[in-house]
Parts: sequence; structure tokens; C-alpha cells
Amino acid sequence: MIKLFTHPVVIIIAFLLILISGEHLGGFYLLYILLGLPHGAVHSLLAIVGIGLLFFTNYKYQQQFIFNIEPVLNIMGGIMILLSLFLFFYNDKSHYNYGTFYQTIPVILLSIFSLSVAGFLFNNFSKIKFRQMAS
Amino acid sequence: MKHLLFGFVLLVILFSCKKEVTEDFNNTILFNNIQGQLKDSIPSKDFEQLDFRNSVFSKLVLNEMNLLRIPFKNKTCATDFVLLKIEKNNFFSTGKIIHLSQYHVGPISTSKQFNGEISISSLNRNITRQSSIKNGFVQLIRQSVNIPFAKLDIVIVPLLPEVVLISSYPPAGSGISISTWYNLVSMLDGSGTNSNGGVGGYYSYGGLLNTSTTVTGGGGASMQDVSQPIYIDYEPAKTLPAIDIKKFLKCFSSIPDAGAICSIKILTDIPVDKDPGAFFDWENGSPGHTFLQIKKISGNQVVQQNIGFYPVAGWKNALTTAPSDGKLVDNFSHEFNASLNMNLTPEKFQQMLTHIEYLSNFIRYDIDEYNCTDFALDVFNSARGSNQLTIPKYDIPGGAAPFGTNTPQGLYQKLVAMKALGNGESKDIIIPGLKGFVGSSTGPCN
Repeated sequence: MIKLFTHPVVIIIAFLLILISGEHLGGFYLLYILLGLPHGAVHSLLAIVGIGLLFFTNYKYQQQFIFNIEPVLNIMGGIMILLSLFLFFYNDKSHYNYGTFYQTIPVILLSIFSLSVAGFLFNNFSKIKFRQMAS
Repeated sequence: MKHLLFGFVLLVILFSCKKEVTEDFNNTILFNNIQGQLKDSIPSKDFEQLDFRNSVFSKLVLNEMNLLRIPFKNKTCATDFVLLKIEKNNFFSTGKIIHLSQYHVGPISTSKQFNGEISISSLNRNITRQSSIKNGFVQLIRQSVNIPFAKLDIVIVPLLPEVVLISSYPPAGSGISISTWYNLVSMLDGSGTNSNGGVGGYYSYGGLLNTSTTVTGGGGASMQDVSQPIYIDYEPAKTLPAIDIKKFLKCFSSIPDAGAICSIKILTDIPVDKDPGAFFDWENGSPGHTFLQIKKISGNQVVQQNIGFYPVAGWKNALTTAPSDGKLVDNFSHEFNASLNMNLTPEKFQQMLTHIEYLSNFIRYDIDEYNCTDFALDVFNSARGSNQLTIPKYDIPGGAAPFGTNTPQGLYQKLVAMKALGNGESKDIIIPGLKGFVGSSTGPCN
């Protein structure tokens, strides 16, 4: 169950389906990534690179954790998508989307993503630690 | 690799050289122009006293608002100086002589609030405005009668602060806080549309901060240059709590109808201030906002409420265009890009209040068919009679409204067009240079 919950694909889906609640309008975070992409928005670029890294690592190494590079890339991908979300809200100077933190459904979705990515990062950090101890 | 390194170094050198030459050249032209122009504009006694070496040039790139402060000799830009608005052609278009005196309650460095007096004179030393300042707020405006900058209903409003910034940067270099700067920028405009820097409910956007970057100026003098303007915005509430509209409207009954000045103002805040054509702000997904300011004044009594209509949960509009629960919100200090004011008789005013209360019983938020703009127009037009305000409608993505949707952008375009027509209502339309902010609300009354 925990393995499924912290699977990269689950994390990506949870990330894209975070529900942003603006004062008048809202939407899934996927929409905001796509909106910012033509303008080169930092949160969009970080999200694309982060998701790309997670997909690539998952496809290339199949979660075997044989090489050190796999958890490192996973951690980088995880941090990037977290940074994307952080910068999206941080750069929102008018706090237009701060309703996301106060409304039940968006908070639930945000919590699911947070727990999922926290477990994922912890898992990958432990893999690095385990390998260091073993060597 | 060597070629690459050489090319990089060459680029850096070229870029650096170009930047310095351009700035120096521009400042020399500016300096010469201003000196020549000022010589003809102010009394020679004052001109001789000007200390051009310590001038502070402040650029606000966003709306091309450039200001030059020239202190008098043995004085500083914190107390006595000439304030000039610099145009693109490096000449000044308007100017004032400012005198500020501060009552020292504590050390200047630790005192965050300005207490003192301000005096504004024209360049030929005619005093146009004088006022005391308490905790950064202009308390009382005295002005010469030949400068009708302030309307009666603006000056006597006691509940609106001169500056409604909730957060600001501390004073830097010049000793004047950013809030004071706001006042100065708005007071530079004596046309009346800017009122007295916000007492009327808004002030122009012109936040500047002196970073004390010294560059070489013309004529052997030097000027301090603000190379990196800092933009100030108000700190909005993190949530938009619903108000009890009945309690908000009840306040108006505390002022007797006889002799009262009643008005309603519709205000639009477009998504992107610099781009009126933008349908929404791609950075945060905001489509803008339309809201109302309702005011009743009698003598020294003032009641003012800023009311806007919102969905209870914005995210629901992402999943469906069906109506969702709505709420009325206090839009105090909200920014706006255009507004239209309409004076009402007490009877019409009361009818309009009744209409708001009636609507509040059942309206539901519908992004494409009954949004914030629809609500504001609904109320505004209920008091307008046959001369209904209609605005261009737009098809919004995913919208199901057959004839399009009312948007803040559409209202903005309508007001700009009405202002350009110059008809009878154009004087009631305010379009700030970049944006303005409404003042406070009276709040609920029990």
C-alpha cells in the first residue's frame, strides 16, 4: 500500500490533480502549468522538468535501486515539483489562490500529494543511506 | 574552448560598456534639460538654492512615472525639496516645492510612522496645500481656493486613510517612508482627478524606494539614481469572509436622508494592469473583479461600503459552469483600474439598498451567467433607470451563456470608451494611470 502511495506515477497524478481555488476561478494544477508554459513561467518549467525526471527515472531504472543515480534523480524530481508548487503560490503576490489552503477539497488533495511526495523522498533518501552503510 | 571563452569575455565587456555610456548620456541630457527648464520656472532666489548634486532620480518603469527630487542647499530630500515629474523626453511636465517637518517622537531610524506637517507649493511659491500628518495619515487639507482639486465629498471623508498600505518598506536614504512617497506622487497631480492622494478613496500607484546608486550627472554634478524600482502593493486578506449584508447596509440608516449626498460607484479591476486586452492573468488565473462602492455623506457623517460578489469556493467553477453558492464580501482596499460614480437621490439610494438585500437572499454565483460583474451591474442599473449601463460581452472558455459573459475587462473597455467620448458622465469616470485602491469600509452596524 505504502509502495503504491509513494510510486512516482501516483505522485505525478496527485501533483497534477491538486485543486487550486482562486477567488473566482480555480482548476487543477495541470491547467496552471500549461497556462504558464508559453510564458516560460518558472513554476511551469520546474514542473515539466521534475515530472520528466520522475518519468525518466522510473522508466530507466524500474525502481530497482541498483545505481546510486536512481534515488538522486528521484529526489531531484521530487524537489522540483515541490519547488514548482511553492513558487506558484509564492509568486502569487495578490494571494489570489490562497483559498486553496482554506477549503476542504483542495486541502485534502494537497495533503494527499504532500504525504505522497514526503514518503517518496524519505524512501529515496533511505535508499541512499542504505547504500552508503552497505558500502 | 578558447574561442568560446574569448567570445564570452568580449560580450561581457561590450555589454558593460554600453550600459554605462547609455546611463551617463541619458542623465547628462536630463540634468541639462531640467536645469534649463527650472531656471525659467522658479524664482531665481530658489534656483540658486537648489542642490543639484544631491538630487534623487526615481524611475518607475511599470507606468513610466519618473520623479526627480532636488533638495535645497543645507536641506535634505526628507524635508525641503523640489519634486518634478519627468517625462520621456527628459523634460519635466509638472513640479511642486515640498516642505515636510517631522515631530520627533523617537529616533528617526526606529520611528515607522510619520508625524508632522506637509506643505506643497507651486514652483512660483504659491502654497497650494498644507496639512498635518498624524501616523502617516493626512489629517486636514487646507488649500487655496483657486485649486479645486478636491470635491466636497472627498475632503470630509474621515474614515478613509491617506494611505491604505498595510505593508510598506522602511525609509531608506532619504528619510521619507514609502507611504509618504505615495502621498507625494499623488499630490504632484493638481488636476483633481487624483484628489488628495487617497482621501477620496484611492491613490495613484507610484511606490519608489531610493537605493542610493550614484551615477555621474551632467554639468559636473552628480545625481543619485534609483536603479531598481520597488513596487508596493497592498497586502490582501488571505481569505474572503462573507459579510452580513444586512448589517453592512444598516449603517446607511444612521445618516438622515435630509441633505445627504448619496452615491454608488462601480469599479473594475482588470486581470493584468498593463494589458487591458488580457482576458485573465496567466500567472494566477485571475479573471479580474468588479465591485461596488456605496457612500452616504451628511455633514461630518460618512458611511461607505465596498461590496463584491464571489463564489464560496472558487475551485467549483473549474469543474462546472453550473451556479454555485455565492457570498458578498467587503472589498475594502481593493485595487481598481476604472470606475464610474453616480449620485443618487435618497429615495433612489434606498431602493438600491433594498435591491441588494433582495438579491442577497437568493443569488448564486455562476461564472458565465451571474458573476461579480453581473451582480455589480445588476445593482448599479437598478438605480440608473432607463439609461442602463451595458458592456461588451465575451465568450469565455467553457462558458454556456448564449450571448456571452459580462467581464471586468468588458466594463473597463466600456468606461474607457465613455471617458473618451467626453459626454456628461465622463467626469464621473476615473481611470488611474495604472491602478488605484479604494479606501476602507465602515463595516457592519448592529
